[in-house]
Amino acid sequence: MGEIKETVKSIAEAARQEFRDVGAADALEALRVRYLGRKGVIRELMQQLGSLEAAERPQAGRLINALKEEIVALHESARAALDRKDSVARVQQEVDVTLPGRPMRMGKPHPLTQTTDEIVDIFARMGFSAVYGPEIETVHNNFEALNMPLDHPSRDAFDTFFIKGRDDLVLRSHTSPVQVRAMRAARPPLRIVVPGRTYRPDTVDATHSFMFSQVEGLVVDRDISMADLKFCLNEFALAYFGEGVRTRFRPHYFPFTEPSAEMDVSCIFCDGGGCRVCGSGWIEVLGCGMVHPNVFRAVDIDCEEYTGFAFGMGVERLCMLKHQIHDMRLFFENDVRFLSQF
Amino acid sequence: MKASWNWLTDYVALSAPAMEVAERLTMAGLTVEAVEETADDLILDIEITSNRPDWLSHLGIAREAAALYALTLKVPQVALPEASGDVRQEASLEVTAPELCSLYTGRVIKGIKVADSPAWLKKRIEALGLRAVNNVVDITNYVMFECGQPLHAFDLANIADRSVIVRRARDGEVITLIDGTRHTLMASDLVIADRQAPIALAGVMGGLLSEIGSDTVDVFLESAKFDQYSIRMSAKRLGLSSDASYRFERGVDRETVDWGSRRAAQMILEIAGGTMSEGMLAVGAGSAGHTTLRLRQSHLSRLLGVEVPIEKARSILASLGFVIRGGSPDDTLVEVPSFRGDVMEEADLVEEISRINGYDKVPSRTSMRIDPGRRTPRERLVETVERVLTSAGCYGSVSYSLVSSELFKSLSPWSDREPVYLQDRGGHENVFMRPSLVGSLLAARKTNEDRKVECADLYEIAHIYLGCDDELPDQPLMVAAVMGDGFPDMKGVVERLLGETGVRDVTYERASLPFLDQAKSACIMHNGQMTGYLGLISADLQEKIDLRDQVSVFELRLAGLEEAAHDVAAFAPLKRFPGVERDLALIVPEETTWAQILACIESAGVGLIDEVSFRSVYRGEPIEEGSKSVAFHVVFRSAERTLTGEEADAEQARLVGALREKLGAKLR
Repeated sequence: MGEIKETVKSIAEAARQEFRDVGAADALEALRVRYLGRKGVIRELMQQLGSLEAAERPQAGRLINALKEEIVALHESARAALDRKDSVARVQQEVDVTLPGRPMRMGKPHPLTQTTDEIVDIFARMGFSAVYGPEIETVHNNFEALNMPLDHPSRDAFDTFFIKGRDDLVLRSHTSPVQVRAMRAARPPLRIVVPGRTYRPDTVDATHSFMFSQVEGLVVDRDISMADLKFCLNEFALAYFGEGVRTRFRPHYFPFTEPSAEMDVSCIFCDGGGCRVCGSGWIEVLGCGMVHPNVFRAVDIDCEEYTGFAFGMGVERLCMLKHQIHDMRLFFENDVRFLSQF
Repeated sequence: MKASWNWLTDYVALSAPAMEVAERLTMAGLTVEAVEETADDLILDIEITSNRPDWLSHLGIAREAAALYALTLKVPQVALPEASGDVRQEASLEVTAPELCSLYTGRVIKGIKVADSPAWLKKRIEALGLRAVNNVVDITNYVMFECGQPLHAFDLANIADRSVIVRRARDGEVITLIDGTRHTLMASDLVIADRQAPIALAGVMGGLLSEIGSDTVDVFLESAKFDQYSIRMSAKRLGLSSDASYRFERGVDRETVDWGSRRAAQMILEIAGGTMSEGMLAVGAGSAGHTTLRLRQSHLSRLLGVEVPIEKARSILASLGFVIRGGSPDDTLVEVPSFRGDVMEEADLVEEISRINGYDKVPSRTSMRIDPGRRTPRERLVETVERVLTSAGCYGSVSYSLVSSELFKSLSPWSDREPVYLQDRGGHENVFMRPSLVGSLLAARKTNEDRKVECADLYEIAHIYLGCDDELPDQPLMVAAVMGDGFPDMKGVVERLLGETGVRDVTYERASLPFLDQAKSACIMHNGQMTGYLGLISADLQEKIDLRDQVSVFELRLAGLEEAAHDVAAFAPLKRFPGVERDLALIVPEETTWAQILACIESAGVGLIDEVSFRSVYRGEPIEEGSKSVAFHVVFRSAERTLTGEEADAEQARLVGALREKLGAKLR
């Protein structure tokens, strides 16, 4: 009896030491098997019970059971300790996914460039090709060839910068002179868009600038009608402003088109109900019309054989509407806090 | 133009609500911008396009409304009472500048009594935002807003010798106008004068001395048609704009000159009393004949893309005052009324018909043929450049092409000539077109720096403008950028940019541009021409514009590169056999350039060299002063087999031999 007591005691001491020092899950499992397994230490002790005196058996049995319970408890707590250690290690390896990433250096095109590209792209899908022309232009191309002779009252609306020492040159006041160049350069059919900078001596404020951008369009072919004009510009409005938008065409006056119109779109902010931005529920977005016969005559295109339509729009205005920019001057300050928003 | 609803309904019996009429007018081209409600009237604020002077009157707007609602226009009947005494006994008229005044008429009414206008007249005048003056002046204004013909009443007693002379002003002649302002005139101005001095600036404003006052008894009533351009130029130069000049500039109707005169005379006689002298003084024709145009139904349909029956077209034209002179559907003869000087050809008739019929009747449909459109070399080039620069961290900028800072002139290596200046005008003096983009980018960098926006790397793609001898000045398309990085990074950007565009045969040479750091700048050469430059800005320039950082810039001429760009890459087969890689370091004299080393390697005729890439430059111990060590990486490779180390050794020896022989290079 004294012998088995000693044995149990020394096993318990050894087990306490071993379970305390165990450092890994597989070692712990090996310990478990060694003490508690089918051929383990406890089992072996139990088998030795039979060789004891009958009177000693119960006490020895209790000692062995107490040992078994202690080892089970040691195993439990060793496993818990290992689990705790593992999870700290895991957390130390994991990134805090809510931390910001390292900023990537990337710029963007200017919002006016983005708007111009979008407009040109929409028309390109309808078969328009981009054409460019000079910003310093002849008076003839800027005015006379567009049915605006010198004594024409509409020339007031197109107040113009002249080049010093050259009464025949101006900063183009619209992109329309490129129509004239395009029609001289190639015979119909023509289907072009003309993006570019234009200039008028306006005083700079929130809605005016002496430099601004336009996109002009021109289609010339046999039997081009106002229905074609409405189709192309309606499609443009839907593509640019969104599928729900409605358009209306109001008669207007431009010297280089007849009949002429202005296109309004239903207000994109109030859906046509009338608000602070639109007032009436409609927003004016572009001017258009059928090419005036005098414009064809100026470039020797037979206005009996060919008809055409033309349109022009202000890029700043379209960009401001879409992004709710309130002051045109922001475009030309080039503050990166502004540029990075679009 | 402000129009009174009550006044309009004198001429057309509108039963529709005013807001609906305003909408219809807007959709017919008379944009009603606002409808203001007053105590017992509605005032319509209408935007009138410059081609429609006939709409600058209540009768003109009423005619439009009548056409839209198929109603009758009621034009007031004018019947003058018995006159006494010959007008020619009362005044004389002479026009010495008929080129500026194609029709001038004058009537004389004697013995009137100047007083306040009756309440109804005052109300009409004031409803339009005008100040009521006295019965005679108010009547002339009333008739102008009724029919569009400006009228002027002179106090006959203040016309010296009762002689009215329509002439060009004498250079330096001075006149004081009704508003009290004094103006010095030129021969291009037209005046109404008596034998002594001008009494009115024709078509713009009357003179102070001949205005109608409370003591006026006899009146000379002017109704005329003045030259549009001359009135516009005089009004513009003198900074004067009046309701009269506004109408004359756009052109008044020759045939309304007399109607307006009779209408005003009748009202003066009714309201201010007096008697009219028999007849009228007149120089010029009261009518210039009417244009007749041909309208083809086929052309109408072709232009609108929708069938409009010819009967409908004819009735619309008739309702607008055109006279149908018969003809077949494809040959309708249309006589244009004299008040429609803007209608000059068939397309104008098409607009009239379509306007009244409604633009909404034109369908939105097309039979345009399919056309894929074409992307131009310029578009492709610009797109590539933008892609590279935005990837490099630059934001696109847009700056004014008009500049006035002298600094811009010193930042352009593109021309020695004076830049293109604009003609001076108020608020825009000494303005020229920028000859370089870099100045604008540096200014934008500075703006950002001042606003505590760090490291604003920016680019711009735009035109610059050089000298002006030819028909048009050279206006090449350029790209430029400003970045906070040093020379190697900036050069990396430029190389990548040119590499992506596929422009070949680009070399770099030492630059000596005064605004760049001489030690860290280069010219970009293409086909022997300088096509751009890059480098750090000079310390002087940095100080001058007060920039914190010594930034790098580049500017590159895109014009001309479109043709050189090869943006369709040709596939190069992937290398199948492994190469033998060697790192070499050469000790060469300081002045030896990398380009020389490369050229030497190329000309050495070592066939198995596949790649050479620069690694680093080292100066200092143990390399002696005046020399440097240049390290580079070489890959020897065969297209047919795996090279052995021995083969590579032999090639390397040939290479090193050539470098030693030509450049005095020693292997380190």
